[in-house]
Amino acid sequence: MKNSDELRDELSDSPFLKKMKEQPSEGFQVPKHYFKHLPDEVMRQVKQPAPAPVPSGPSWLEQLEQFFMGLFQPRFALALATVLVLVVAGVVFFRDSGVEAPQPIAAVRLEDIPDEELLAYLDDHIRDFDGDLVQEASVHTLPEVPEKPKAISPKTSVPKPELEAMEEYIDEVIDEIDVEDLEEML
Amino acid sequence: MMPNSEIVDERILSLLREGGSQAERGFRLLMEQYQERLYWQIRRLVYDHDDANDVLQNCFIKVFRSSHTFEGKSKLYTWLYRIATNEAITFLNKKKQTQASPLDAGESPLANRLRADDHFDGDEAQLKLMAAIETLPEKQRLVFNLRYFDEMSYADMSELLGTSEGALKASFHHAVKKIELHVGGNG
Repeated sequence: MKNSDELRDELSDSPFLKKMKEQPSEGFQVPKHYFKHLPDEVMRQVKQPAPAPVPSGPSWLEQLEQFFMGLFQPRFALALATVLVLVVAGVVFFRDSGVEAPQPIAAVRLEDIPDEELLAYLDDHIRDFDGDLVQEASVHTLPEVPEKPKAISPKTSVPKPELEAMEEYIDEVIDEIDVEDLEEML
Repeated sequence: MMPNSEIVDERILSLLREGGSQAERGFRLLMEQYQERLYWQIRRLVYDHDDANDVLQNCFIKVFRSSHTFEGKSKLYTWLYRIATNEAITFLNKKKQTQASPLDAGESPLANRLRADDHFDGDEAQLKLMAAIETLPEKQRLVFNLRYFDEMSYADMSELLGTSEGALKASFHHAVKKIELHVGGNG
């Protein structure tokens, strides 16, 4: 059985399609000589060089430049100026509002510590501090503590090296004095 | 004895393989042999002549640039038909994305388009048929067009679409019922 006969059988339940199949045309038209000229038109396009590849996009430097240029566009510039004005106004307002800056916690607590405790701590940890720092701190901050009077013994009042030098000097002087001179003096 | 179309196909492929000016001759022969069949296949999918012209030209340019990839495992027309159908479907999908859906849901927008088309002179019944075919799913529409307009055998259609003959028969049967229902429902 031919395809057209089979098709007619398949359309037996569809009177509309069966009737439309008998019409000579589907209603579509093509321009005159369209199929005659089409191969030439296609060959003309085929012989044209392939279009150059489109660059993938601007480089990162160009993108950065575009970003900054974008910031100077009227809408972004206006937004940035608004934000800047708000920030400046906020800083000025809070600075002049009379709110004192809180004092350092460490300084407040240091003042509360009695001097005796501070001195005891410094005595215990004197070796932990830099010498210049200790000297400077003692001049500027620490109260003067009166020194306890100490008993001065004759032996300890003169340093030992000086005592030996003095004895040597006396021995030399004695050696230089003649016996006759001594008798005259006596 | 080899059918005439197969002899022509052999000649086309032989010329294409030779390259240079012979390949150009072969390609011209291919276009002359298949341009009308491919054009009507595309036209029934996109409806508009200018659209069909664009799709067909793109199709031929692709065929020319990839003719060396044709291995001869299927018929030449099968290969050409697949490229043309893919081009037409890609074109329709792109067109769908760029076109806004019509606000007036009364009459088919296709019927209005065809009425304004200089290259369509069909009557109201033909407008109804086109509008009904447009409602079919993509694959069913391809099957209906090949069977109803081209009167292609199910065996050839099976090779072309990669679907079993039974499934194709069922698909055509459902398409016929839907069209009859659509036309009957719309007066």
